[in-house]
Amino acid sequence: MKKSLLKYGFVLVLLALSASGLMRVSQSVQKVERDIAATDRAIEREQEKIRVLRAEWAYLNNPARLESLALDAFGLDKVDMSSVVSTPSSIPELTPPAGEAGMLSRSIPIAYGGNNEGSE
Amino acid sequence: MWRHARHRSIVIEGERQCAVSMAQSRLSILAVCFIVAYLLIAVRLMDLGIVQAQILADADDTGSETVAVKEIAARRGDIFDRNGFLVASSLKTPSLFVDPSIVLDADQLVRDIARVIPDLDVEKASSVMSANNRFGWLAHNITPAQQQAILEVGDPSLGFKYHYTRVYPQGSLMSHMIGYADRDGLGLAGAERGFDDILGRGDNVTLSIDLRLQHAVKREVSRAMSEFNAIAGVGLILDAHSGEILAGVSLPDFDLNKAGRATDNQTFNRLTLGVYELGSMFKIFSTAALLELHKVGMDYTFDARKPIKVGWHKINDYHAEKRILTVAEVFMYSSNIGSALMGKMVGGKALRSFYKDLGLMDPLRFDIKEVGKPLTPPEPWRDDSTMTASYGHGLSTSPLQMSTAVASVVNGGIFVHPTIKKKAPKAGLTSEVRVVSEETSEQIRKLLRLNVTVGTGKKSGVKGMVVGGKTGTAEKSIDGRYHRDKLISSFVAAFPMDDPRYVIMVMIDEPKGNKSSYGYATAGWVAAPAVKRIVESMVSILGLPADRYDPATDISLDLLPYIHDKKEKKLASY
Repeated sequence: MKKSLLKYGFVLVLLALSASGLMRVSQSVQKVERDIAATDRAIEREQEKIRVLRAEWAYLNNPARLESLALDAFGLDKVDMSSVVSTPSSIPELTPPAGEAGMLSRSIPIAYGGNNEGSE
Repeated sequence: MWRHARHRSIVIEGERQCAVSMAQSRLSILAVCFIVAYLLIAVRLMDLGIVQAQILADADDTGSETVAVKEIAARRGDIFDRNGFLVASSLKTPSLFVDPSIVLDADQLVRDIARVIPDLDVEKASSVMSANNRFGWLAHNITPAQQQAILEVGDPSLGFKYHYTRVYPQGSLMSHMIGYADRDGLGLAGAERGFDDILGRGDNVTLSIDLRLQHAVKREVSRAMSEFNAIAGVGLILDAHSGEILAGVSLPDFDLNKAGRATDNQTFNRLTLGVYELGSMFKIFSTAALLELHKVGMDYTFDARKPIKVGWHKINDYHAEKRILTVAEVFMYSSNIGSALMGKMVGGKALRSFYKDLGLMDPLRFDIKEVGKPLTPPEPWRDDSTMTASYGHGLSTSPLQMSTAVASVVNGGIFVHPTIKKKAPKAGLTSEVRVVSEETSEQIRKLLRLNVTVGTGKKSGVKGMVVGGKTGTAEKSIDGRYHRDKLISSFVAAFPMDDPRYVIMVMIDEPKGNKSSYGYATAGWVAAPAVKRIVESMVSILGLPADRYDPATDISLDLLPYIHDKKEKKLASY
């Protein structure tokens, strides 16, 4: 009698242990599945954001826009054929610089547009 | 313990005892079952109440979707230019809907939404909200910022559904080449239609078009159009070997993002679908036919002293020289009389089949489905058709078709299939079909170069670049009548002329002469300068070597002995 009670008790404990173990496993599986789904959604959201940014970047790089920006901000117009040089040897010698800053300001004619004056 | 107590009061032995212990064991099994069941319930309660609640709370923190995202159709592939710049993409955009049955204060709600979406049709929104149903659209394709603001309004009757919207970041830069797709993602024009099967299964397409060149061509064509007050224009850069279209412009154009609002005049693809009488450009082909089929030299002469009358036509020269001209002179002065005589010499049947071999008699086989069918004189060609066709009168082709035929003649004589899909570098020629011999191709290249160094195409010359080309000025035929003041002025060029890599064409529809052109609206004044500016842009964009040219070895020098002119002809500095 006592023995069978002990046996029942033992089975009961085993049952409880395995039940709780099973629950833990199923909980962690569910959690991992949720994590995966959440990560998938996050990835998809990020990809969508990247697509939007890429489209925006392409929009900002529209040649007509860049051309007018280059002209307004830096006075960069279409390249004149006389300034196209394809071999280094045909570049004329630079005149000796009077001073580092002086040379820079003379040899690079840049017309700064309104907004860029602050950054000078 | 309780068993012992019972034991003392009642003692059962023998058979009976057996039955009691059996009942007892059954009871305990039942008890165990109950205990286990209650334990399970307790554990599950704990699970739901504490563990799951924690997980749900965590999920809320990461901003899970409060509005269900409906299943949406597969994403359409993107389109890129040859350097990998994005030109068409599908973005998931939210659209706002309302469930009118649970709207509390419609007026307030409309005001709130109108504050977020300024272009909301307030009256329409109010009527949607007062409708007796459970669903109504309020606004399509709103921006992420607007969506956020709507979420902050927080009205439970509002919701979002997601669609893929086709966006074209380059706007109108290459409208006719890219084309457009409808809301369901079905390509309706251009590459969107031509490559619909590829894009539809989600794959990307890389076009042969170079965005930078496209911009340069568009800029110069629209400049020529506004300078000469023209109604339309076409510009093209074609790779003479691979057939890749590097730039293709048809003006007027339209913003692809608003394709639905474009007029027919804007959506009409003049480069591939429009057919035009392109005039003297055909002299390239009639001369090639003569050189190819009759093996005559450049010194062969034609009598261009007086106009020719054939049938109803009187063939006259625009720049009349009124003398006997060599083959080189006929080409250089663009003599209609000389070309007509060349055509007669070649013969109607031979000339027609030569044009046919160049693909000028049939609709072009091309990636873009909108291709025009050429208008040609009825078969068989009689003398008058043959003679007028030899200088491009009485037959209409699309500008792209014309350019590919020119590319086929100047690239060494191999037929070119045009494409707007990028090819691997050094992909080689597009066909094995030879349309003219190497020698004829070389002679034509010399003639085209001569045209720029001393002839009618001078204004297309670029210092340092060996450009060759041919003008074409034709009167427009409207309702069967030709109009003297309505011209199609075009110029087709190739460079470098020693081994042409690029074919460039500009066509201007109905230009009007101005002060700078001394009132002329002909190709040499209108289209040639535009080609020159395009070539100049190409030099800086593509980084072409601009200082390798040696005037002493110019290929057109070979032809100077065949130019007999009172004035001494000198090679222009380019």
